[in-house]
Amino acid sequence: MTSEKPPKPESAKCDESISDVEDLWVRQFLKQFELNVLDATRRLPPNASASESQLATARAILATYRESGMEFESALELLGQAAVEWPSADVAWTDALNQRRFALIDKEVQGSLTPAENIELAGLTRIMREHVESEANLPMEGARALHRMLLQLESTGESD
Amino acid sequence: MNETAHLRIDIEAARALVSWKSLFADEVASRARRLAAASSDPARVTLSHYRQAAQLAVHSLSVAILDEGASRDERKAA
Repeated sequence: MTSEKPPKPESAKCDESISDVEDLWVRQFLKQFELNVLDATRRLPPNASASESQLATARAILATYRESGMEFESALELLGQAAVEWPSADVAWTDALNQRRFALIDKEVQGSLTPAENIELAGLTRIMREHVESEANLPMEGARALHRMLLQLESTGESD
Repeated sequence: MNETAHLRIDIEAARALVSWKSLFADEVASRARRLAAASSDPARVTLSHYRQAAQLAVHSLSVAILDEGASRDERKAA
């Protein structure tokens, strides 16, 4: 057994860096976010409570998302997804999540959805859409079978 | 009584600070990229590049703040 540490895998090395495009985006987003926080904060009374300041910050986050070109609904979905996935990321779509989504839709129909549940529902919808649209869930097997059949026809000269 | 309890910050001043921070960060990133491009691994910007770049950017920021103040004073005087 060697005492030398194995080299870090390439993927781990990648995790410790960001692209220059991401770096630029972060800097621009933070600048705009700070300006929006200032704008939201200056409308607060001089002795604003912590919850008023937190609400102002939440408004600034939404404003910054909107200014980065995101639709309001998409921004809500994104926040909802982050909340559902909290604290990790890449939550797999499960029956439990599906059932929770249906329960929230029922409450929405009944008009009893709270603002927090509204955001949760938006997040669940986004995760479900990503799951449905992911390559693993597309009907690829049928497409592959058709492709194989067409290749076979071409190789046997039966395509004309 | 705490003297800072009623301290108010002009929104103009707070905005200027946001702008300077952003200017400094942009300057550091830009200079670090140039330093990396001249290094043995041009595709990687390291902390060392950022350290060097930050020292240069401090000077640039100082000049930019002075210029900004001078042109503002000129506008006021006009």
